[in-house]
Amino acid sequence: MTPRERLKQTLLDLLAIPSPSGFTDEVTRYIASLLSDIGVAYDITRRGTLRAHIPGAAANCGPAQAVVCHADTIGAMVREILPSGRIRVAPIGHWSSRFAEGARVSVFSEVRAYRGTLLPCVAWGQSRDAGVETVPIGWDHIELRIDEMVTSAAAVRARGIEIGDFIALDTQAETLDNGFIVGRSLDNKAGVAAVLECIRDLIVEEVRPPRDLYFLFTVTETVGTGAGSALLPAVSELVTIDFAAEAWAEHCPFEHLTVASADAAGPYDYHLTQHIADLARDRDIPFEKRLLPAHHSDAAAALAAGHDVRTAVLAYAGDASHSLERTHVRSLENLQQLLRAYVTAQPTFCDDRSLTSIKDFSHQIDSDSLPPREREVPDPGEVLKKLQ
Amino acid sequence: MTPAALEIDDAFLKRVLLDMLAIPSPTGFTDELVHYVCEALRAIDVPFELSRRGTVRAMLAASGPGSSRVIANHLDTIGASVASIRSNGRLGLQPVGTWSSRFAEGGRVTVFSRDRVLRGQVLPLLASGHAFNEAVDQLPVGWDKVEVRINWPTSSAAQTRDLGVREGDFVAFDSDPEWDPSGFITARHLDNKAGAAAVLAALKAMRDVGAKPCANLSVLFTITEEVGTGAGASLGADVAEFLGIDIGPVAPGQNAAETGVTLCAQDTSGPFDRRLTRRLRQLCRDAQIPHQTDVFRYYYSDANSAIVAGHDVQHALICFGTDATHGYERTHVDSLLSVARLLTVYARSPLLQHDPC
Repeated sequence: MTPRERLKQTLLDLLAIPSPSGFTDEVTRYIASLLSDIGVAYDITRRGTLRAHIPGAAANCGPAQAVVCHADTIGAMVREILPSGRIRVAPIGHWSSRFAEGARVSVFSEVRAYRGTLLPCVAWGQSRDAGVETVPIGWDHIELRIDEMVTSAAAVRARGIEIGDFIALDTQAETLDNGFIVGRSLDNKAGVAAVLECIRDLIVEEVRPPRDLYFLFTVTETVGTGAGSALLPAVSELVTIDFAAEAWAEHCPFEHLTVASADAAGPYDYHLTQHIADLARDRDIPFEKRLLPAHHSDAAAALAAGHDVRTAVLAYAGDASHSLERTHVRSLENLQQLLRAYVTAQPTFCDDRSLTSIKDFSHQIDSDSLPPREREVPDPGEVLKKLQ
Repeated sequence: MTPAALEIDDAFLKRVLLDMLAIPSPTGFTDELVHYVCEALRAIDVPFELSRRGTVRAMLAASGPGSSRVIANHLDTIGASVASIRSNGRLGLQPVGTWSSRFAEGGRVTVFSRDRVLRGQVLPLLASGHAFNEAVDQLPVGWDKVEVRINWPTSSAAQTRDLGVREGDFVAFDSDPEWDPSGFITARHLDNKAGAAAVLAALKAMRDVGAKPCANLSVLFTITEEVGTGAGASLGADVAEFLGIDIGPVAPGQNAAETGVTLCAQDTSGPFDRRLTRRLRQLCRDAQIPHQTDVFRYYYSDANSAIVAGHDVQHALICFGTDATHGYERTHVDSLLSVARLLTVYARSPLLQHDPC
């Protein structure tokens, strides 16, 4: 298998495993098994966050680096069983019901899994006067039709389906010869696949990163709490790998990466972000610096949990996030390349201690770079005095 | 017995406030202000430590061991960053922190790009009455309705990119401070540089007379309050009390004032610790510091980030009342001196749960 084929295969495997936030045990097991095959040591937290560890080559060059990506996806949950035998659902993660319409799903009851389709509550296109074109978009207007002979709530319950059962969406993944990869839940399984293949390459080629290196695979990013608990105090830099919907501007083709300078939780670390941008620039890896104002990431969760780490987000190109997603294999390969560069380069600050001295503390403004301002407006009283 | 308030060096307070207002420090771009504060602490001989990303913790030791208290104030301010480079060569903005673009209009700014520092001004998209007549009045308010006109010859996105400007570059607003003989101070970014100046002045007052705090005291100068995570990482386990110093909105329907200390009983995150708030009010009464209490409905501060990060502390918030917060801010030096005086009293009074000093 070529590296590209292996990347695609890992991604397709991940996409086959249902993993809405809160229902991620199987995807954790898959990643753990792949890490074992590669030969990387890892820990698993109580709730299933994986922490893989590659020891650094130099014993004394500063604290550790971490790369984090989330393996959970959006999904849904049974919220109400209707007298008709249809089911109302609540979203898991933040996404529009518009993109749920028509999705094929699996419902995981305590008894077994069932198949079904999410439909607008008025779903008969042939009787237009029923309101197909006027029913609003919203989770209140979506019903789950399970593929069972049921016409009553009792019949649904008799099959073991209950409020709170998890619903996973089929990804309907498709990879094309021209490099496009289409499917649901590419956010962030494409990122997980790229990170896993990056780890594989490091191990196969026996590359030792300069510092202790951790790869975190989190399971609750989509609901906002991913990296809170799994960070070690030794970690000074945390780079989040995620899916970023492209602004389809001319300068953002499909293979580009995004180095995010800020998201909904504010700016990322200035110095780490510059460091990553410099690494990309030096290697001619195409990227854009961008703001992701509607984006939430594991980095923000780490800061909210009280970790004093530098954070950055490195994202691969995507379209239509949390919807009918699409990415491009070249973007994922560029991600692997830049990630490889990041983990094998010296860190942003070699001696980045949790407590520093003001002498060693960084600067952001070179005082010589400030343009002189000629705004020497005289005091009005002084000017008038000369006239009076 | 409540200790008397110490005398505050108002010339020092004024100087450090004006210095700090001159230093750009939108959240995420606070390194230089951190350098300034550390130098100011060194000059008044207060020991401090500095976290990796730049949170400053000044420390005043009490006579003995025991639980400690934290006084927290933030150095970062609102600002913006470059969200887009428009086809006319001007810059679209994304706010840093939560504030209305209405108050950005007309603001003079410095754009920090990788290769060059540029000056400019924020304008509404329709910025000339001669050209657009009444359409100017119809243009809605919003961050997508303003742009930065940079003072550099450019009329295309490509030219602006050639100057080195990129998405994500920080944009700092001029503070434009004016110190009126009446005692009013008008400026952007009084939130929270005025608070930081009051805190530094209080520390200097204690140093000047050799006053010791009653419990071990950490004074935090945090750097990410405007985005909600300032004090999360910086508390030790032995912290019993957490007092925030921040801006208090003066507006119709609010009880905050531009004079005296404004105690905040509750903000968006919920009520502050009632016992500590009551204690602070009692300290104000005993030390004859004018004060009022208010409730802020649309407001977060670092006290909240400490609680969210899981610290079990009794917390309270005291404010300098300011008109038009996150806009064209104005406060009065009396409120800053009152806050500083209260800090000198609070630091020298016993913890809620401990014996008198």
